[in-house]
Amino acid sequence: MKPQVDALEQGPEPTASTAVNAWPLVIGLALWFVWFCATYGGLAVACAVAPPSPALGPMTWLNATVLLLAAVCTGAFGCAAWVSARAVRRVSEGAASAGSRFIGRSAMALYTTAALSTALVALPAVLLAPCV
Amino acid sequence: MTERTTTAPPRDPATLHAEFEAVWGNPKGWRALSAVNHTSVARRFMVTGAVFFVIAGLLGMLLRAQLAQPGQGFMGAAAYNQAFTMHGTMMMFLFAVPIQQGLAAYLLPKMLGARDLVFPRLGAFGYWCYLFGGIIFTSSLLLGLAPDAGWFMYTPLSSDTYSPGMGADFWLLGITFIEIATMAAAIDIAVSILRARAAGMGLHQLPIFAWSMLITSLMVIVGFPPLILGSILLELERSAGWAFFDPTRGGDALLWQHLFWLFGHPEVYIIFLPAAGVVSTLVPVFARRPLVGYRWVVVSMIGTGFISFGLWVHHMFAVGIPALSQAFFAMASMLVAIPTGIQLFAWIATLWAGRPVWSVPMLWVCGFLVIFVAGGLTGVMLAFVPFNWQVHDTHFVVAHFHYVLIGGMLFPLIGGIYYWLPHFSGRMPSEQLAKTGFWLTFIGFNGTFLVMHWTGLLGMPRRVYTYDAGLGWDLPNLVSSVFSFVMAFGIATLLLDLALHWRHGRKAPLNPWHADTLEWASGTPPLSYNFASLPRIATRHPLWDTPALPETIAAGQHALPQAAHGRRETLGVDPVSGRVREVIHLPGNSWWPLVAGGMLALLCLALLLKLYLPAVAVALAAVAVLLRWSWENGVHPGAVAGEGHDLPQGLKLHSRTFDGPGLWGMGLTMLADASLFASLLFGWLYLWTVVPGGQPPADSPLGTWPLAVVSALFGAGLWTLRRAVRRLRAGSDAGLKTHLWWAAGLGAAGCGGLLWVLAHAELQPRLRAHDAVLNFTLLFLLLHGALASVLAALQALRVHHGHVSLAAPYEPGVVAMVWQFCTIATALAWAVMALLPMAFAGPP
Repeated sequence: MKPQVDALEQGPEPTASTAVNAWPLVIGLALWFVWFCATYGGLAVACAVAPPSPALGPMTWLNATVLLLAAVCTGAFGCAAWVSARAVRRVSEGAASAGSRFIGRSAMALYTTAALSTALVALPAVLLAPCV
Repeated sequence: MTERTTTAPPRDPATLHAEFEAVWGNPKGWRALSAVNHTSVARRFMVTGAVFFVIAGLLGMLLRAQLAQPGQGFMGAAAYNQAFTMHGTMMMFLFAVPIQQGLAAYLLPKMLGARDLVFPRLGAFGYWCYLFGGIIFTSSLLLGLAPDAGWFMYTPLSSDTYSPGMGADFWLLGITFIEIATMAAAIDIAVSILRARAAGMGLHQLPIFAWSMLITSLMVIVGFPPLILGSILLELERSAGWAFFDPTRGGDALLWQHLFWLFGHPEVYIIFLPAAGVVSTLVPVFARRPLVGYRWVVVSMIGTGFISFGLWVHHMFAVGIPALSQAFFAMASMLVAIPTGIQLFAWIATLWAGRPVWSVPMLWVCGFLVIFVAGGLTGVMLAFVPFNWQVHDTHFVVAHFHYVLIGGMLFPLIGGIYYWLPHFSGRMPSEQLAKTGFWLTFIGFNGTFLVMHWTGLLGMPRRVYTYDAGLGWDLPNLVSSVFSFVMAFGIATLLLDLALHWRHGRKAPLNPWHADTLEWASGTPPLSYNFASLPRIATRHPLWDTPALPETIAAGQHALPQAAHGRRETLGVDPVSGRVREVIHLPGNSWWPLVAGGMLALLCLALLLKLYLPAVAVALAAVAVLLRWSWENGVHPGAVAGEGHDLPQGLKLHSRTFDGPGLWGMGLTMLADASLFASLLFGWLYLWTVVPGGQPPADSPLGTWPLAVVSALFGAGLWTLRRAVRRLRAGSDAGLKTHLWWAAGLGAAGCGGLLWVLAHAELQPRLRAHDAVLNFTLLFLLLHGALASVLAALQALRVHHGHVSLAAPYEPGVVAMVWQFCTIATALAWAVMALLPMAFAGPP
């Protein structure tokens, strides 16, 4: 007994421009985790090697570095969210592109989550001395 | 919307069933132990998990009986310490994770429109490791040798100085053995969700339970290796005297805490997310409408999965970490509540917008909502550092995590068991007994643990086996103990209901809850092959949109509606779009999983008894068994029946392509390996930074160039192997065998280099933590180099026997991934352990 290819109803092969991948669902928050570990680990190393004076409170080069890195990462994640939003707008309506829309919108939300998480986690560096 | 799904002419369902049963059915009698069918293996997982739950629950009852009154002499300190250690460990490692993986292994292929998980033999092997490991671990109770250092085994309490005897060894070896099962199941489940689904089922149409299990499985793959590494290092410290956590020899006790909680906090969400998936599956069915905010729920689960890896230090707020670092973790701990809250609102909105039908599963879901919200709120309280310090190690924390774990996992799990009970057995539960069981459990639980918050706020520390009268703890402890017995009666009632329903429950119709997901089309109880034909699914609600699917599936009107060829087949799809790529040929019943599991159990026992020479012999035998098992994969004549000329047009068996599930399985295995190696590098850098005087000498004992040479040899082997794969892709298998032998030779030379470094570096792992880490790293690389070399040599032999060729080009690409890991890990070890100290380290 042969057939069944019709049962699969696959339609035309996707081309390079129409193929969708799921990496945008994980890249943002994976990079957030890298930033988080780098910040925590970097702070520990800096405090062991060259701790700023506790008398300075939060006004130290270390806090400034933490905040600057966080601002850069927040901006980058925000840009990625904006790019995802634009990409979703370019996707046509209809069932055929539902998968692309799903991944694009989810990626936008996840990049936004990464941006907000970066900003919020770094916020205490405005208030607290780094090595006390 | 549903597309046209039937094309093939209908066949007689009874004839089809007989044809499929001949290929997929389990053998009878003692040969049933060789069954690898996911339904059978998953049932074993769930039943075994339930047995461990009952044992751990009874231990919990002993603890509550002891604490019921001040000065109670029912248990001594030693017995109490063993009981709470075993209770926590068994609940976390032997019950919560395995039973949910068992539920997932049972349901997922049926939900996804597949006939089995992609690695059925791996699943069976995992089960035997779980069973044997669980028996070995639990036997320590009967022998009076149970571990007593708490479920997180903090050093130095768990070191051989303060925990002499075999108790801690039972924990370290037994749990590591059991984790093999957890990792195997996670890899099997993740690859199955990504690669073995119904045609057309894109990521955006995955059942929500599949999303939750995909995220959970990836979390297991990344989250468990730090604990596996920590357990190996601690066992090496205890049995071989290597210094890792001993501060007098340059180690640090807090390194264990970091490694443990790097696993331990994600573990909470590893336990919660599958349960959340169950709730997201049940609520729409009983609300009789689709889940509100499907995409938001998916995004929330992904967000929870990642953020949960940034919380581990909140278990260590009391160890003396700078305030700013603690604040990072406090903020992340509060953040993780947001995605969980989004899911909660999605469930409430679904109930609000639907027309809910109240039944037994929904009772447990409602119980979950109440209890889990309370547990989540105390979790946010604990994220505040000052409050955390105040209640650290008190009964408040015990109450909090029981609210989170019992509320967040046990209640949804029982709801899910009642929901899928007609699927498991073909019978309905007793409404009356089920409701009685729920209310006794709900009231008993809250009476026990709500009151325990106050006991903790009154200052009662956890892990004390008795207390004096007059501290204000008498009454709340008595109330907790009384209600804990009410809860135990509730659980007993529910177990009675489950046992009775098997015989006395009324017959269940095919889809008793009018559910939308595909598992209800696979029969109640299910068929061994799930589906006689595989439908195209382009909707999230296949049974709501096409109620006739069960009939057309059974009549063979969809894809792959035959089994006369003797192969176990399911469709392999593109992970994102669900477009069919190939036909996955699944292996059948086998004794290898049981034999391999048995060998590893013997190895575990030999290590426990410190019989190291027999352990080496057993380890070599186990490797031989595993390699012999691997010989049967792919196109080995024993594994393939027929040539596949009867496949749908344009499709091949996966072994005839470059892209089968094994490639993905190996990729995820290497991801776990990378997580373990990253934890090792973290340990090295941590000791360097934290331990006073812990800087390695600038002149590394490994020398500057030896590891570079080894990296180059492994790199050359990788290049050779990849060249062979490129040629295969280009349509030529000329020189294939030679390339593989060259790769094996280069790998062997690399291993020789590592042995030379080990012999000449003059490392003293018993004296210095620094040397212990270096020694362990070299052995880790040697093990991987040897594995890569043996696998390459085995491939060359398979080419010689015709199992790998232009027609069957799949396997070398899989082996190349091991080589890739090996090369990168060696190069990183060279950079971090030989080069970095030259730039930053202190004088020799």
